[in-house]
Parts: sequence; structure tokens; C-alpha cells
Amino acid sequence: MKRKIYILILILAFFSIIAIGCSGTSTETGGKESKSDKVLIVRSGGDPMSFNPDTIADDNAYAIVQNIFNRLVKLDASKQIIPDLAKDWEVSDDGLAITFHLKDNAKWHDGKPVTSKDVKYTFDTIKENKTYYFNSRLDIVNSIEVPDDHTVVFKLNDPDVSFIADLGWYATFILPEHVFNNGQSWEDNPASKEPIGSGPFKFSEFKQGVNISLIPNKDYHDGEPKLDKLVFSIIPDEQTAIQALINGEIDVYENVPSSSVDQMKANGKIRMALNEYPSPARIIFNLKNETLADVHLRKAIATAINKEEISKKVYNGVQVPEYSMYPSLIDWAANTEEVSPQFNIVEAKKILENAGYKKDANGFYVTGITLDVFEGSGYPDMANLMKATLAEAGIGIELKVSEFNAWNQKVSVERDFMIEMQGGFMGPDPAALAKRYGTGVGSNYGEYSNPKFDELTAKGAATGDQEMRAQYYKEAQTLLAEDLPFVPIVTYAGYDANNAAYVNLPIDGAGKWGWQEYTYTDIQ
Amino acid sequence: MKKYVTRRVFMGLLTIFVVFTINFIIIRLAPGDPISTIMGKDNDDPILRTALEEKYGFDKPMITQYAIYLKNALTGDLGISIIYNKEVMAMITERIVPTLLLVLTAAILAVIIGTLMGMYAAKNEGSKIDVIFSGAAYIFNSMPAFWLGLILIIIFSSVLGLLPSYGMINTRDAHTGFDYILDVIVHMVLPVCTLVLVEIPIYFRIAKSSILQVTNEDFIVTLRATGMSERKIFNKYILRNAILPTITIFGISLAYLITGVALIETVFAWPGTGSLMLTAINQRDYPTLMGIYLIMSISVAVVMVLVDIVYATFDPRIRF
Repeated sequence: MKRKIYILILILAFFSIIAIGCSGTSTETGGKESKSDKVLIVRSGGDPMSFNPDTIADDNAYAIVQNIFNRLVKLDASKQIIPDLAKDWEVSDDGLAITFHLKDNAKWHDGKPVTSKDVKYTFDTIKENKTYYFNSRLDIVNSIEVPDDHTVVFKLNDPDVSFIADLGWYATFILPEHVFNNGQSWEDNPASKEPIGSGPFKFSEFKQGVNISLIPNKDYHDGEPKLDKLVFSIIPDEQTAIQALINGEIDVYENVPSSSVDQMKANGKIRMALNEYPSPARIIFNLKNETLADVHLRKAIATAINKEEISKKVYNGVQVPEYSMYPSLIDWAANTEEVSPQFNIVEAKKILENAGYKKDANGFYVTGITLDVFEGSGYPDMANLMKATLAEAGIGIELKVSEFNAWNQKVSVERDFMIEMQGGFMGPDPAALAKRYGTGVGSNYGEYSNPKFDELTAKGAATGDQEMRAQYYKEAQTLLAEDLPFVPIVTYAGYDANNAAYVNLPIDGAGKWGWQEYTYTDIQ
Repeated sequence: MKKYVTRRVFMGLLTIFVVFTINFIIIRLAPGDPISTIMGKDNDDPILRTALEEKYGFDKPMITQYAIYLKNALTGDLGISIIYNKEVMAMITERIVPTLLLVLTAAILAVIIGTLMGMYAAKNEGSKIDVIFSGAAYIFNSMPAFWLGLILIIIFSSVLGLLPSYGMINTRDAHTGFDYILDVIVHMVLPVCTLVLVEIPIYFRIAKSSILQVTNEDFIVTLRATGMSERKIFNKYILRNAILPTITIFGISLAYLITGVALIETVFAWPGTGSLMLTAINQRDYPTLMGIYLIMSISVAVVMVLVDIVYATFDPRIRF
């Protein structure tokens, strides 16, 4: 008898949980939509950290906020700068003033006009708060002036045209002053949870761990979006997301794993488009390390890496070998003549012999070099292939594979490594070279320092003339190819898999619309 | 009985405290910190790092951080997630309902089906069905659950097109009322099946072996000698004794299931506490992790105490 009662209680508990679970959310979902609505579902890997796009740089929020907010300028699918809120801009002759002219018909989602005061408010606030992502980049800005409602002038301490490109990257979205300027910090401001922007879509609903829904902004200054609803659906697992796309449960999946590319290309309902990023995978040498401080050894290592094999075996040929010291994707700035060495084991040995290295009993010239790699992105596989060819050349490498956070702690915080492997964005402007390899800068993990390189990159940032800039940066790359503080391995590229029924997706918009912007997306 | 219960409850509380302290230390010993997550993958700005460390109190000594956290936790304040700037308690309550729904459904189905199968196999030991059941139990028990989940998605969603592959509700067409409940049930089928398939073998084997064991006890032989009907012997004497281990296992697995289904939740994009925990680990979101671990250790402790009490009711010998 007792047992029956227990079972009965358990069953009752079970049904009451179903009832609670259902009643809790069913009231929120509003009216049922008809099937003919154009609902575009985009796969998202995880929850956004915040809907305030300027406090932190968050990849999960980045795609979403690009559709709610505007920046002064933005990046398109080819990772070039195009106008956003600013219709055009000019740099003064001395390079110390950058003037942006804003579009005059832009409005916030609550109907108020977007003015230059909002721009000033946004950047002034970032400048005051050390914890905001763009704060240190604003050190170069002396003051922001607003001569009229649609003109903003950035007065700089030093000439730096790459500042314009950085305004189209993370954490530079223009926020409404009338909403945010109420004495609360941006983090605690309720407006950071229910954002009001000026972008093509309005925020509708966020269900933690489930999805984020946006609805079109009918008054958008560049035209009303064609979609009826834009949903970012959170699917952490890549394989599940692939199945969901095949089943038509989602429509857009940016950057599918290269192992699934062939299978998806064969599917007629899916349109595959290659999306390239200026973020090559590279190995970086710790120049504070005595062994690696020797440029001959670095050259030998660079010569003993088979980039072709890595590209084919690890990335199915999707990510191709990169020899240029600045991503060849940004073709106007990449130096394709002075590049990192071609694969040649005999040559690598010769370099070592000439530099006076002696073979030990096992045939190794050098041993005990460690390579720190984090899990994922095919990096450990890449490192293993490198280890094999390096061993052939008589260079003994030991792999240290760890989870990303542990790797980050060791490499970027403690700087405790000999060689490390990483990716990372090198755009939108070649000024990124100075941010990665300039003397004493934060992301220069290998602590490379070459005064001539610093001088050239400084010159490149100080002029607005693209031809001159290209020349300075190409010279700087010649130095990098000689010194080899790092070796580029393969480019970063991935296929965007989209529902073939849709046109004008972000990938189709080079020169026209933003990299993750869905304003013009429509059913064919 | 009263003394027994008091002792158990006290032990439970002590366990929670010890686990809490160990968690606090272990989480901070792991390399990496939430600051790196907030700063973004492509950035290492020392000024920004110092400013953020100060803001979240990581510049204070660890013992001070512990004291502050313990004090807050005792008043029921689990703090605010560093990553999401949201109350941890609110985040967990939001996510625990889908998990309980998934876990309880699966656990109850698995315990019923598994035990029935075990009973049948024990009664007909050595029969063809027993061999099939036992073989299948081995296969499913050794199968990684997340892999099985993915295979079920490929078969039932992609190939047959019968069931949705991810989530708890249909994203394209939002439903309300009864349709909503139906929608949730449809979405539950695959994850629940995965869990049930993986859990059944445990209950099957426990039920089968403990029934077999009890059947061979002397008192059963005596009962048989009295001429009592086999049916009565089985239902009244064998089953009552043999069901005890099942209760223990059910309790324990229920407690662990709250976070133990993390991989299943990730595969099916189910918005539960398990996937919240995995994300929090990857982002080193200390407050969220501590909150989840605390809830988890409390639930394990509570279930253990309950199991002990239920056990004591079924089997009075235990109290002494």
C-alpha cells in the first residue's frame, strides 16, 4: 500500500511541475503568428552578456546589437569600413581632427532624433569609465566637439587615421543620451536590459538560454527591414545546429565546422558562402626566452612548417596557407613579396648548421622547446603536424594543450611560454600591426620590440593617404619577415551556411551593409 | 527515529558547508578568471584588467572574498553574475524548471520501465527475453549519452522529420495555451528518450540482481514450503525487500541529474541549469558557479537525508 502512495505522490509532483513550467511562460508569448510571416532564425552560440553594446566586447551579443544600434561607421562582409550613422567624414591636413557628418533622418526607436550630442555623450561616458572596452583607445582623443546637430569633430592628441576604422569595431555603438543619462551607470541602467537603439530592428524579447527576438523598426532611416521578425536562437552544440539547419529549423549559421562543409554543399536547400576574416592562425615566439631570441632558430622553425599540409589535413582546404605577415585578405596593405619562408626541411637544417647548431645523438639540433596551444579550432591538430615536420628538421617541440581560459592565463596574463599558437583579428586597419607587435603594447605577448617597426607603423597611422600608408605598412612587414617574431600559418575562413530561400544576407552585402546586418534580408 | 533524523540533518548541513568551502577554493584555483571573459578574446589591456579587478573585488585577499561571500550566502544572497550582471538566484530559478521537467520525467519513466524489465527478467532468468534485456542494458549503459542524443536527432529529426531537433519551444511559430504544452511535450521527446535509454540499464540491473538475491534467501524457501502462492510470495515478500536498493539509486541519481544532464541539455539546446553550469565554467563566472554548486549540494544533501528516512521507514533495522 505504502508503495502505491509513494508512486502516486511522485506522479502528482511530476504533473504539477509540468503545470508550473507551462503556466510560467505561456502567458508571455502573446498572440500566435501565422506561418506566412517572414521569420529569420539565426544560430547563436550562447547568451549575450548584456544588451549594452559598449560596456564589454561580447561576441554573442555582437551580431544582435549590430541590428539594434548604429555606429558612426561599420564593417561589411569583406571587413572594410563603410558608412553607418555618418554619411561621410574628413581628416584635417595635420591629421589632428576627424569630422563626421551624420545622416539627418536617423531616429531612436522612441521617435527622438539622433544627434551629434548623442555621439558626444557616448564617447565622453566611455572615456570616463576605465572598465569600458573602448576606454583606452580614447586616450588619443583630446576632446569631442559638436558644432551643430549633425556634425561631430574628434580632436586628437596625435594624428591617427586608424581611429576611424576602430570606430567600426567593438563597443563603439552610439547610445541615446536622453535614455541613459539618468545618473545610473550603464551596467545598472535598466535601459541596458531593454535596449533602445537607432538600428533596423527593435528589441522585443530575451529568454535566457533560449532566444532573442527582434522586430523591424518601420521608421529605419535606411528603409524598413523586409523581415517580420529576426530571432537569434541559442544552440550551443555545433552538430545540433547543423541538423537544425538541414531540417529548416534555423536559417543562418555563420562559420560551420570545416568537416561538415562538403555534406552541406551537397544539400540544395542550403547556400554556402565563404566568409574570410583577417585573423590568421599564427605561432608567436617569446623573445624574452634565450633560446628563441636567436633569429636563426626562428627562421629554421618557420622554414620547417608545412602550411599546405596543415591547410589540407586540418581545414579541408577551407583555410588556406598564409605567408604574408599582414593578412593577405586586406590586399591594399599586405606585403606579398617579403613574406615568411616556404616549407623546406633541407633549408631549415642548413640554417641551423650555418648558425653553429650541433646535432645531438638523436639527431636533434635543439630540444625542449614548448608550444602552448588551446583546445578547439583545430589548433592541437595543427600543432601536431608542425611538431612532426619540425622533428624532421631536428627541432624538438613539446606540445602543451590546455583549455582556452588556462591558456589565456598562462600566455596573456603570466607570459609564461616559449612558443604559443593563437588567432585573433588583425583588421580592420593595418594599424592592428602596431597593436599586436608594437613595443610594450598589451597584446604583444612575445614582447617584440623594433624601434624601426614602431616608427614605420606610427607614420602609417599619421597620414590619411592610402598609398603612403600602404608603403609604410609594407615596409614594416618587411621588418617582420626578417625578424620573424611570429609565423603566420593559415588564414581564417569559414563557410556561412544559409537557407537558400533567403537573399541579401549579411554575407552578400560587401560595400552595402554591415557584416551581421539583416536590414535587407528577404525571401526570394 | 527523531534522534536518527536529527543526526542525518546535521550531517547534511555539515556536508553542504564543507562542499561550499572546497568549491570556493577549487573554482579560484582553476587557471583563468571572469575578467578575461569580460575583456574579450582579442584583448589584453593591463589598465582595463586592473580596473575590472578592482570593480569586482578580486584585488582583495581570497580569505576576505570568502568571508564576504559566505556572509551573503547565509542571508540567501547568491550575488550577481559577473558575466551577465544579473542576480544568480534569478538566473537559476529561471533555468531550473526546464531541467526538473526533463529530469523528473526521464527519471520516473526510467525507474518504472527499468524495474519492470528487471522484475520480468528475474522471474524468467535465463529466458530469451532475459538475454535480450541484459544485452541491451549493457549496450545502452556503455553508450555516451550526448552521442546517443545526436544519433536520435539525426534519425528522428533529420532523416524521418518527425521531431524537432533542439530547444523547448518552436521558434518560428510561438504557441499559447494547450498548443504550448503540446509543443513542449513534442520537444521533450528526444531528450527524455535519450535520458531514459541511458538510465534504464541501471534500474534494470539493480532490480534484477536484488530480486534474484532475495529469492534465494532462506525465508523465501520457508514461505514456499508453507504452500503460499508464488504470486503472493513475490508481491508481498520478495518485492518489498528487493525494492530498497532501487529507492537509494533513484534518490541519488535524481540529485545528480539536476546538473548531470548538462551534456544532454547542450546537445538539445535545452535551457536548463546544466547548460548554464557548463557556460559558467567556460566563462569562469564565479558567482554563478558557486550558486549552482550550492543548489546542487543542497539538493544532493536533501535527497540523501530523504532517502535515509524513507529507507528507515521501509527497513526499521537501519534506525538502530
